[in-house]
Amino acid sequence: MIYSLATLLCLSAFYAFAMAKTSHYKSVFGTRPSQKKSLYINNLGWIIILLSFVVNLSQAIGYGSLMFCGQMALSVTLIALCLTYQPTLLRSALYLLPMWAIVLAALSLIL
Amino acid sequence: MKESFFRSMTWLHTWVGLLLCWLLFLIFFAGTISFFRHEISLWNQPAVHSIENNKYQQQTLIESGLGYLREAAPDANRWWIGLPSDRQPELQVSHRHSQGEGKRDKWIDERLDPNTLTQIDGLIDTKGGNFFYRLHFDLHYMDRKLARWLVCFASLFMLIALISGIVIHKRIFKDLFQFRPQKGVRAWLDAHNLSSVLALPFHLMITYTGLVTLIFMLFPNPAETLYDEGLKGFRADFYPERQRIEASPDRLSEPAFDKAFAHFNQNWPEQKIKRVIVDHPDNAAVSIKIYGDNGTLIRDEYPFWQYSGATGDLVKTARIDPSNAEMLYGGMIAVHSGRLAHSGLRWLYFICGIAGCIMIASGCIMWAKRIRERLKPTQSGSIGLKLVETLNIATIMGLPLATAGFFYANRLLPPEITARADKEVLAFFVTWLITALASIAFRNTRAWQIFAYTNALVWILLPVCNALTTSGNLVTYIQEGKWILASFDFAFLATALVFYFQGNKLASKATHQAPTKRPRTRAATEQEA
Amino acid sequence: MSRADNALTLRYRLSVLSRFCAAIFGGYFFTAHCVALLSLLIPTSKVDAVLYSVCVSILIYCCVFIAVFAARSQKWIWSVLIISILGLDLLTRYVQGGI
Repeated sequence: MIYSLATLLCLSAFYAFAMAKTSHYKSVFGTRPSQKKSLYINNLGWIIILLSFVVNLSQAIGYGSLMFCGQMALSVTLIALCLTYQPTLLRSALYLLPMWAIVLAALSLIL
Repeated sequence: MKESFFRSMTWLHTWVGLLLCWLLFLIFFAGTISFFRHEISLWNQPAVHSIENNKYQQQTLIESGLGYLREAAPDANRWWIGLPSDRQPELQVSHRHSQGEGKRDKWIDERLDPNTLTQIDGLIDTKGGNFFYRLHFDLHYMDRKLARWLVCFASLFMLIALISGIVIHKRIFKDLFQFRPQKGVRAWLDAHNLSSVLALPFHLMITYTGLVTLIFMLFPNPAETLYDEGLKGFRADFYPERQRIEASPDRLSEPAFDKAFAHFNQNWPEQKIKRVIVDHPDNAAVSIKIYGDNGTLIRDEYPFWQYSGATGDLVKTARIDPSNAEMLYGGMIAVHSGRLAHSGLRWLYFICGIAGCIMIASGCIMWAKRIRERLKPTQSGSIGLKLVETLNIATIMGLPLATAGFFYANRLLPPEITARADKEVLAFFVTWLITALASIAFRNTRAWQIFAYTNALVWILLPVCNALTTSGNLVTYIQEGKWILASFDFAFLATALVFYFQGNKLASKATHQAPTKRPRTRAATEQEA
Repeated sequence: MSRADNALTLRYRLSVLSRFCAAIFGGYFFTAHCVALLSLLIPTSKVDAVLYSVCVSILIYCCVFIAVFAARSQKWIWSVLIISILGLDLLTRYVQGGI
């Protein structure tokens, strides 16, 4: 459960990194982001990815870092494929990812 | 200086990559599949599919294993009991018999249903996942030593190509998600960059640690300088558990198994056991070796306890508290083999491995495409280019096809023929050979497309073939919660789907390219000039 | 790359071959001697010294390999490799004798 939360965080982080790029942002949302917004999204991405790393390491240092490497690979693949073939699909991810993360976080706290 | 360094790295990347890329593709491909080594062994052995998860405690299993061996092989010189795990449901019992002076001892392997403790019926002779595991570093049909040196050499080239690749493609980190499939050669470059960057830590790790697994063959020097007997002396020091135990002439009818296990369970009650080996079970030299399970710890060698069977006392232990150097070395090997991984991490390993295959494949294809693009359409290319194109199609399309051939052979060959396991392997290589021969004659886009569709067809029929030849199918697997077997079917279907899309893509390109080819290449050559 | 294609003279090919030989064989022997010396110098138990030095060997090999291709002059590469291999060998013998 914790690892799926970490995976989701990792995915969100790379989503943020992608959206911090003007061209990708434009292909998803149709408008150009302001420079300030891009910077803001980029920083957010770094915070989330750090969080994901910490969540992974909190489970086990060695195993967690292996998981983290794998999660990064998975996230980049998914985001890149989506951006290439169905960029509009990522529009809904803006709401879906945080919601899902909250649900998973709540579940892993309860269980 | 800086510019010339950059240029030399570009040059190094191209040539080091190209020289051994097909061998590397084979190694990566076989290695990626080997992450599912035990799962493939399970899939290849339909008789084991129906075994329920084991219900008994490990102590009960060990005792019944020992009891079975006492009945079945009282005169063996070694008993070997492998306990069931999530990945291997059966209880493995093997015994080794001396064959007289000068001959190698003979192993007899048996498998028991852990719940009924009877022999499993209807086992077939198959190598299963071990075939791919061995192919990964022994390359089959080849002298083992030579093959390992070749693999070492290829891995070194891979590492060099990776490092020089990072130097020359510095910009890849800036635009990580870029993939533009519409843009000809550019698309291959994007695929190359994307697949290498997304799993870069994995690629570096797996190549480096891969070399470390064969390091004592590559660099025996430290051991030779420090030990008088060289590697042998080092091994004796490093692997106390592998020390040979000589048989004793005195018979012993009742070894003190109970006392030994009572001591073990009292002192290490939480320790999961991986395997138990009994040496010389019928004489006074009897010794009981217990190997613990490392679980998800990043360690390679198992913790080890040795008891004397005559007295039931603890003789020695090893690796219960490894030193830092052992952790470093063992950790590297453990990370490489991925034995520690649960199914989630195992799939991530697999994805990274596939990314590695794509990285190598797109690199090879790109080289051929660039040279081809520079030629005029009427020119037929040099022998080197033709060779590269042939090898590309033969390895990249041939290996998946050959793997499917291996799986089909496993299901379709009659169980009673002799040397069945070798025939499965033969099916793999024959399929590959046919693909290679075909690719000598046809190397154009059309050929790629036909091979892609063939692959799609072959892989999509694999679940069907499985359903027809065994008692289970995708629906029953899901109903009974056999997720390992179900994911095989899903993986087959996914592979088929990928090849189908690739075929479609190539089809649109083949029809598209014919009229536009001429002006585009001309423009390209003008640009370059 | 077009530069490389144009320069496919015998001389160029020989220099490439020489560089590959220097990188592969020279690099190998350099690394082998280097880790042998290293294993003598690491102040831990014998097993640990062997394991540590073996684990860094690949790193050394890679660095040498890349350095050989990055360096400009062939003569320089070969002379540095040969001299350093001889030097390492002597040092190893000295340390071994000293113990």
